[in-house]
Amino acid sequence: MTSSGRLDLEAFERLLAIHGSRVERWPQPLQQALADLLEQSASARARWDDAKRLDAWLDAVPAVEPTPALVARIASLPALHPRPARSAWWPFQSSLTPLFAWAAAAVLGVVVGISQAPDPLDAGTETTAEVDVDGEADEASLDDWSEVSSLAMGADWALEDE
Amino acid sequence: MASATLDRVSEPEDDDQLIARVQSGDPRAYRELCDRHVRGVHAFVYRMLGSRAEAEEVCQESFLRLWKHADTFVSRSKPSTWLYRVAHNLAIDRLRRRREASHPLGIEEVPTSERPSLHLYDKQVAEAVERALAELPERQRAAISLVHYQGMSNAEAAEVLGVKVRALESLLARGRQQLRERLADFKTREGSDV
Repeated sequence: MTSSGRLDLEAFERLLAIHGSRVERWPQPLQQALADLLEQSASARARWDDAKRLDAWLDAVPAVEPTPALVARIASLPALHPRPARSAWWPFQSSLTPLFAWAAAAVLGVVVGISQAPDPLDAGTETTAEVDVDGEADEASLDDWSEVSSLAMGADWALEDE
Repeated sequence: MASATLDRVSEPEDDDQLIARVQSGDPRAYRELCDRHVRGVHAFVYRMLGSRAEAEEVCQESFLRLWKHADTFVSRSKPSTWLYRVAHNLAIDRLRRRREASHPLGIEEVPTSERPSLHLYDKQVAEAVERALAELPERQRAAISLVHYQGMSNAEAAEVLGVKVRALESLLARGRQQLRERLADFKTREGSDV
């Protein structure tokens, strides 16, 4: 296919090998370009005739019909292999299906739970930190109180205490 | 109002609606799908296997799977494509087993009474084409059968064979090329007739 939307012989042969001589099987956007090429090129027309001949040969093979006995056997399969129809209150194929679903949900819950749980080492540090923080907090609260007091009472009064 | 209801009732269901009913265990929907596709599936597996007995077995097994395993059907493909894919896989299994048992692939002679009346030359052409098709590699034969005889689009045929569309197109091109070469004698004869 050229940039001008025309079909060159090389592309035509490649497409002909794929789609054959039934125009309706060719991609829609190429059908006009195909018609143009066939009008202009004797060489393309010769190739097209070859492809038409091959398609005609393929059409010459008659389809082998299924025997009535086979059709009857196939139609009777549901009677030989009954399947329980799904009811509105039990939409599952098997009685085990919801059990598997429940087990999968439980496993998923455990996995997610484990992955979200805090690391025990981090937890220990946190406890120590809490103790430290508490200690600091006590000191801080004293400092804060002193500061508040000093603010409330005046810096001079605090200095006097020291 | 009444005519609208009648129209809705008489409107045939498409394959998607039917497969949904088969999934719920409805045998009438299954039989409707069989009526629509049994000829095509049978013709396809016969072309793949070249044996009426095996084609019947594979065809029956394909529809049994449709009935028993309809719930594994995924709606992103057409039910017919799914059915042909099952049939194709079963046919390929047969061919593999046949190869392991060293049985050559051939096309059985179909009784003359079952063939539409053909002129001698047409009969010769038909037999030569059947032989040429039987000699093609399996995938090329499947590609040509699905596209030419079953009228599938290249995308649908690619889905049945489990290949990309480009690979399917390559199978079609190589298959046609081989058929042209194998049937070259007829071209010469037709040319001399003209």
